[in-house]
Amino acid sequence: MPLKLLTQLSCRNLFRHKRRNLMLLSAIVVAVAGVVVLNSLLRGFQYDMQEAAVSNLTGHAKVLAPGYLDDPSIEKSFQLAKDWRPDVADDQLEGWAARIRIPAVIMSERETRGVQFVGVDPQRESISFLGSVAHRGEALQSAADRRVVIGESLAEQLDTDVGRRLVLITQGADGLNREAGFRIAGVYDADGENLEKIFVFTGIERLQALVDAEVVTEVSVKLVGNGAGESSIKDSLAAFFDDLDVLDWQELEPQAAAMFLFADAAMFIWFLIMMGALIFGLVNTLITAVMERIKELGMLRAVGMRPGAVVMQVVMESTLIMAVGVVLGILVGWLFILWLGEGIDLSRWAEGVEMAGMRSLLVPRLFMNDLVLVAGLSLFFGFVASLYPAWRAVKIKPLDALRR
Amino acid sequence: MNELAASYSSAAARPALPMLNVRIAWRNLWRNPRRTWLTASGIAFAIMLVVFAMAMQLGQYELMMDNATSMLSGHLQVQSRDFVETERFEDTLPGATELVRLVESWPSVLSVAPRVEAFALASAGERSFGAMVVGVDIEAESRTVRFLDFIQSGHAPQGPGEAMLGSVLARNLGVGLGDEVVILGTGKKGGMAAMLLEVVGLFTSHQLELDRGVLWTPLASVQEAFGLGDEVHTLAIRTNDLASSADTQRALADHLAQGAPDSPALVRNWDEVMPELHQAIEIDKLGGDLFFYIVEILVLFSVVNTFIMTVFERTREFGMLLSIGTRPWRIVALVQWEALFIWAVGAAIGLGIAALLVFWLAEVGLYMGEQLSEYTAQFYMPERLFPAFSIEAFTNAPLVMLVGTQLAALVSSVRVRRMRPVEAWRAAE
Amino acid sequence: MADDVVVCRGVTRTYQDDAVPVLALQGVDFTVTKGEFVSLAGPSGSGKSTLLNVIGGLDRPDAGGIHVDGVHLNELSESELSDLRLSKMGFVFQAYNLIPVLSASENVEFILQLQGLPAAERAERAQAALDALGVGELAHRRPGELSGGQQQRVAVARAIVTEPVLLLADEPSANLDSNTTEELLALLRSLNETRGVTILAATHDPMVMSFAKRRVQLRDGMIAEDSARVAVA
Repeated sequence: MPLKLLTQLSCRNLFRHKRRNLMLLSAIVVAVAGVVVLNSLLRGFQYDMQEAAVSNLTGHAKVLAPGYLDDPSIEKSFQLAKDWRPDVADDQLEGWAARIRIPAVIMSERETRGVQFVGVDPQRESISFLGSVAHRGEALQSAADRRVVIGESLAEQLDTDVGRRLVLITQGADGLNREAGFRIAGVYDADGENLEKIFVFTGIERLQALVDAEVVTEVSVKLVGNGAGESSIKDSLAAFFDDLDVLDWQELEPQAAAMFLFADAAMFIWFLIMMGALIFGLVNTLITAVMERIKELGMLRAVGMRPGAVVMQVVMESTLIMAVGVVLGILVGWLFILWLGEGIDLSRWAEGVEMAGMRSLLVPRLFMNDLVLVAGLSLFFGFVASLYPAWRAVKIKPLDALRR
Repeated sequence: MNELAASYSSAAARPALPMLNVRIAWRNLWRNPRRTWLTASGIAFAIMLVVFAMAMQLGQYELMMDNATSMLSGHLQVQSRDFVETERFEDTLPGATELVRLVESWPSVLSVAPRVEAFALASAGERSFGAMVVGVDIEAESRTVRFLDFIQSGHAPQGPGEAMLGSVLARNLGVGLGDEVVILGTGKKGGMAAMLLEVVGLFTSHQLELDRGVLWTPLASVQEAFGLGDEVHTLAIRTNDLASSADTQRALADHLAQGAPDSPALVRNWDEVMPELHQAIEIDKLGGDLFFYIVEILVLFSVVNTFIMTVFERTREFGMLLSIGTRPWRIVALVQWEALFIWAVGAAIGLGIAALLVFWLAEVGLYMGEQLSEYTAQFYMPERLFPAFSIEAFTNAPLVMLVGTQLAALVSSVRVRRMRPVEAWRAAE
Repeated sequence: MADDVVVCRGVTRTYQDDAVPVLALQGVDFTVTKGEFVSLAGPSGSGKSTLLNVIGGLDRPDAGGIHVDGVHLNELSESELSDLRLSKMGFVFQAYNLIPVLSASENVEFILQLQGLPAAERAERAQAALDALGVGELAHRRPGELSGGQQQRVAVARAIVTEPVLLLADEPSANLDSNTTEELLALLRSLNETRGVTILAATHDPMVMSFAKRRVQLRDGMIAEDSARVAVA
């Protein structure tokens, strides 16, 4: 059966009832555009959350001493060769960092708080939030920097500021407490109060000197992009550090990982619901289109059109209008996302957003794969919706039709 | 057809007409049962989905608010203005006994739990961690919050020298029930504050901040060790109704301003104490609404389509009605009645299914799955969600769809008002 | 026998009409030879339309066999029947039944397209068929822009464009005035005479019967009168 002929017939039939089909088309466009926009927002949320989880001193994979997660102390540390670097191709590696991260008590002249004291090489911290936050005063300059940087919220709690001194108490490698004074180099403003309250940074060499051991408690590796190769990096790290634990970000941030998967499922459910809402109108319109053409379809059967070709004609009509709707819908959705521009400012709800592990700017993300999936599944739904009307069309008996 | 024509031509017989219109509309609906059912199903689908989802959503919010407020914070909190800003130890509420009495005297206040909060170094053996030492009156706490439900092992601290620790803190310190913990901090007047406590209980709240950094011990001993007099930091308050806690907040603020004019006390509602929760709910609601409206609009498109088709197919019939003298508005009214019926059928089915689902889930609850529960626990959500029997959830979607279907019919019957009988006759050929 | 286009043997067809069985055809034996112009007449309910339909493969008999151009219809599937109609039969219906969204020439070409012919040949043959029926100038108009007579001519052009073995017509004059009917019948007769097209027309219009060379009368599902048999006898 010549496809071209069927296409031509279907097109002209669609134009025969402009108002009705325009309405149907609008519904499809709203559905597809809605799915595309909601999808991109959810993807934005998802990747934001992942990015926040990864940059929260986690990385895509992390090496830890066994037992560190249950007992994060200097005893659960390990030595790292000076010339070590991860066995990852340069174009896949965004960066890596070795750190000491241990609990400590921090005291100003007036107040005392518990914090995570982190020794870092600031040059390596482009992979974590520390590399991108704004500082009042100065950021840490080198691994040997003897000063500290603290978060804005912690500075308020401690009633202190840049240039003042703080005392930190933490456990040394020998198990005894060490107490030392530090000058505040800078105060950082992170996207989230919790980060600001928890993390205090100094040069890693300074912290090693304080605890009396040339060790680290973690090595964090971040890959380029969304960490597509995280399983292979995990394997290669595990092979190298065979007596240590190697964990990926899903294991380190199980809540964020669960939410990540949940967002995938939510997207699919949204899509199904929208298509469900659409399908009633689609089936309704297609059936009407078949019923008012009973005579015509009967005649086509009489002059020798095969039943399969009649089915094809109805399916084609449904698929055609769906295809046009999908293209327009994706376009409208895309324009809407362009109009959103940099992202949606959620800072009105900053604390709630932080609780969900997101940032206050929700940047919609559009993935080609998602669009292809939406388009493909929409066409599939268009096909499914046409089955019943097509079956009605085949059931038409040429002779009954011609009698009418 | 003849019956139709007859009924319309008897337009002079006024009294019975409105009912007649209704009957004709109802019969018209079933001239094309398949289309009516499809359209009504669409309406039912949207109503069922939105009603059910909204009931779940509102139920979830109620549970979150209830869990969050009853876990620790209470419905209302009274603190010193300065303490709210900076959480500094010295910003206490003086005259605590009198203040508690004053708050308790307010009718809609059920109970009050006074607390002091001191940051200190908690040590066990060679291990030391920073921890928030919270002094509590367990008897008052158990009346105000359900915090005691989170005790994982052991019991709540009753007498002096007893302490209950967050499970993560205990693990970090390497202590268990019966072990000793030394507390070292700075007293109000700058002197050293020290306490020797026995671990009598451990708790798990799934709020990492609490589990990792809080230690509970009786109020009086903390006041004594840290050099406080009749002072507390926080009064956690349970009111008779969470939904109207904001009203109690205002009334209580006035009451305190009169009863204790010199007190620095500030009364805050739960949504100020936990803005993150309030905001998380707001933003979630916004997202939900957006989704609901899209689904409703989609279905309304198909309703418009149904009426476009109905009106188009009946061009000839309407032309006949016009030519025998029926006024156009009567035909428009007929179409509106049909829209009302189709909505009623859809709404009845949609509401019915949604109600069944809601009643069923109100019994068994919706289990979220282990992994997701871990995430949602941060939002004070329980493992099982229960829907809310809220009027809002059950009326919102049906009303939106009612207005929507009426508008849809009106849009489609525009043609009727412009119709000329003769053309209508021909158009049908 | 080789010249027999249609052979019916003992064809019976019963309809279930509101639980009452209606015997539409009762063992009809009927043969049409190549080049005949036959009219099937009879009052409504006599079975003439049913006979036309079973011969056209639009309906299946309960008993008896039908051969069209040597092909045994009883053994064919729905799709094979479709193909047979497409290649060997032409249809003219009472309500013209053109596809409203296609122009006159497209309506004619459409059949050839179903047969899978190349575009150039299609256009040429469609135009020739329309010319032969005197509606060549109206090729680009859609059915809505044509008069009833013009539409029926286009329908005949569509029926003969495939050069069918058999042309079936069901009340071809039902919607036409007498002048137009006469013109149409003259055309059908000339097609029959000049091109040798075999025509079988179900009708109760005396004018159609007068143009046919052989007149068959049905009554109560049986052949009551056949001018050919009378002639032989």
